[in-house]
Amino acid sequence: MLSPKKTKYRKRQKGRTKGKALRGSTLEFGDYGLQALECGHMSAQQIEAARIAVTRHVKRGGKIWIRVFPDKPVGKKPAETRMGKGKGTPDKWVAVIKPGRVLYELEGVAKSMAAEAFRLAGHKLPIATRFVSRRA
Amino acid sequence: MAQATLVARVREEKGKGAARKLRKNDQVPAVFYGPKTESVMLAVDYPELARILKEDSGENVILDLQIQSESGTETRKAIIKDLVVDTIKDTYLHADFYEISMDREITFNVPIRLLNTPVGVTNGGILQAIRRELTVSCLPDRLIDSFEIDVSALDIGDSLHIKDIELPEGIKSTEEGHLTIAVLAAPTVSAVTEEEEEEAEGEEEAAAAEDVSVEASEESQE
Repeated sequence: MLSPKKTKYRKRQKGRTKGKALRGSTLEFGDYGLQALECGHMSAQQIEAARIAVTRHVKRGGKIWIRVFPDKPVGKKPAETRMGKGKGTPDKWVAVIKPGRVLYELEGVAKSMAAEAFRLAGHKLPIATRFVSRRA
Repeated sequence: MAQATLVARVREEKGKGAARKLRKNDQVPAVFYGPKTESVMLAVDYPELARILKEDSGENVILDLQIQSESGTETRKAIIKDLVVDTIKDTYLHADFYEISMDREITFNVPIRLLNTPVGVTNGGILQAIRRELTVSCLPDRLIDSFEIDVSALDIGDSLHIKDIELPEGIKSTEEGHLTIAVLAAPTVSAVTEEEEEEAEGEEEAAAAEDVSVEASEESQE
């Protein structure tokens, strides 16, 4: 699964997400893409699950690009722990997603196949998405 | 290259609030500028701009911009230099019009269209476009909508470079000739997928073997 090789700090503040994606909101590599419509976090597991859904449907042929990277650590407190006593230990890596962000791109397959692959991938994600394609 | 006429009105009010008011009234804030022109703030009709951009040539259009002001109407030649689009709603938020002179060369990004299905694709390869636009320099009247390239002869492992494009007379590329436009890559199957497929096949075989053994034991009991 995707994760940073090394980080300067182990833990990061939670933060708030607002606004739209200013960068990474257009198709750059492939002909088809999956675009986020909501704010949220995508964990490394979810990114991988959606990627597998696409590659399984496409089978042979086609090239996929992952346009997001989980570079933010999210902590979690152990079970049955009282509140306080500091921040929990890092549990997973997430990518911060803003509306408009292109999450995946695909090339080398028919439009109908790409649409179905991304529909399946969208079900693996915690945010609303839509299928986008390049203007002919 | 496609040509169109667009009516624009000079606006005085500027800023976030004024721009939002314009957008509510079905207009798009815009700006007009050029190498020898003072920049002018404009407002254009949204449906008119959308109609022009919906055409085949899209943003690659030479505009006769009719600028209406208190002193009257004047027509200027312009191209769409920049367009701000709302990524979610796919609506136009702002446009930049750049004045051109018909006797001075301009630099422009012309889309590259790859036509026909390559031989390599029928053999299982993937046609991968590396560059979808080519930066060219020419006089405005020489500009074309797109470069259409026949890629039917491409086989697996072949690539297409800028130097392979036959540029029409009067158009020259500002990019280096060795840069790649498209490659026909061999099909790649990820290791994970292959492993998964093998696992799935293995499970199916195991399930089938179990069914056979159950049937055999039932028969022996009878």
